[in-house]
Amino acid sequence: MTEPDSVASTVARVQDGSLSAKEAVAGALDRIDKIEPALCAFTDITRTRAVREASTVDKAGAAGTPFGRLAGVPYAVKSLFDVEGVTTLAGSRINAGNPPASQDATLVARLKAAGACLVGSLNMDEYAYGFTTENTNYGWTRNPHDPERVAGGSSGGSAAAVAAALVPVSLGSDTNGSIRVPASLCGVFGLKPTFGRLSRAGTFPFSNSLDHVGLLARSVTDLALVYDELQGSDPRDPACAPRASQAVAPEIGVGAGDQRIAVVGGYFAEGCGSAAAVAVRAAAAALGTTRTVEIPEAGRARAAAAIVTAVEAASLHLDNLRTRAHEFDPRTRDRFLAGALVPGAWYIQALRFRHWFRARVDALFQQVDILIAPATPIPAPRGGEKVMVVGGVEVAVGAHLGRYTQPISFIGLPVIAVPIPEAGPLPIGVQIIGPPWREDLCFRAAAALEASGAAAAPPIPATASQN
Amino acid sequence: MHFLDTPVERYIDETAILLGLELDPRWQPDIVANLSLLRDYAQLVTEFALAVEDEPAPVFTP
Repeated sequence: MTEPDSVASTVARVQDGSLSAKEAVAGALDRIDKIEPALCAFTDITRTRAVREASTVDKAGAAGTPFGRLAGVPYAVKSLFDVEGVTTLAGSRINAGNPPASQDATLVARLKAAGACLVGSLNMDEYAYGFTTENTNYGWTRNPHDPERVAGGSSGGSAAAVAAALVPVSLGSDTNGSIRVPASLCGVFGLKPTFGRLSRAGTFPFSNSLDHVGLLARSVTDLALVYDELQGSDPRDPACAPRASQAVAPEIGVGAGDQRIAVVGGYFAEGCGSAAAVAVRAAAAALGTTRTVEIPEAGRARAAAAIVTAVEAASLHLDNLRTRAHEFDPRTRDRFLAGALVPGAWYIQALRFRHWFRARVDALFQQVDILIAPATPIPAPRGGEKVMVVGGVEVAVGAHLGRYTQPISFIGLPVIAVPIPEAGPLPIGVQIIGPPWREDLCFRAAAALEASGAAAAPPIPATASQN
Repeated sequence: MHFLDTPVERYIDETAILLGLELDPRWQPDIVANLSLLRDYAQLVTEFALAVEDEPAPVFTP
């Protein structure tokens, strides 16, 4: 089998004329046609648009116009991103009755401007409220490495499509771990940048003070090349910071250098299975650190994040909860209804705690540059599993998958989820966590891990291979 | 009895009326489970002593 092109190789080949954008898109669509029926990663395939965008790239190239930096790269987006002419489903049956989006989300428009070609929208937990992408409305996205196991969520389609190499890169969103959890379970790299770094304009919200958007790819280089095209302020998203872009692609060859790197112990060393522990040890060894630090009160931070999420999400959907509750996915409806009933004092206290927690972690980052923590407590559970046993304790699968990601996104820190093959036969990853606005440090450490051989996306699984 | 130990069933029924939510009785057990989990989380958060200057940020900035 020929390995499908990466972002980097697609761009290089389109630029040197050995591959046209139309051929790149045709290759992606061909893989989607063959593999998607067993994967359930997509909710829409934008075939006509993809071919049109590829044709535009090829015509511009033929006319001597300089290629965009992502010329001919096929990509797909979580179905909460607006795509002009496509209804933004956000995993919901209710949203299926909405009119098609009248314009692209900001990030989709930026990728189009760079010459990338959109091939479709991807499955997710309804309104992003879940960690497994077992969607009652649009199907259960399978893990390409074992179709009896979940892909993770809520950006499950985004991770599965990249892991199966249907596309080399996808966009997702992350409120409590929704990029990092599926990236870990599917064995791909996932970036959740600093809160406010990337524009959320034209995305269907979940929890307004916690929502981030980001991306998933099969290598650090691909992640960096696309991330650099997504950056930039945007008045359409009030949370998007008015900051200049900070290109990371030039940084990834620098290496971890003299970065002060530490493993996070305490809460982050508890409640995980052996594979997660092995992954953290392998990452620490590859980065040459034996240092351990603790993030104070991380368990309370996770609790506070859950409260903020529940209240903000329920408030957003309150009208539909009053009049159309029976149309919600049964897997999410009860979470939304419970969130609607939360006393205001709990919510405000959770927001006040965030202030306290952020100050403590800021202080920690005076002593370290990069933190290593597990991304998920376990590799992918089987579909339909409600509970799992970790360290002899029975816990709810859905909630426990976010144990290590929620405290980090709660204060908006940049993270790259990095797959560590040494951890076992099923994929699992670690979080490479940096100080606010220092995605560059995360990229340098992740690239150093990749260069050492400790981090890599597993080979494209046989179930997703084509002859 | 601490207020967080109060059974949630009655609270759910009465607050739902206040919010205009019509709850199918079949959903009740899962709503109880979810709100009970949030109550446990709230206990962790509300028992933690904060200073008056620990205010929510009007616009959260990392």
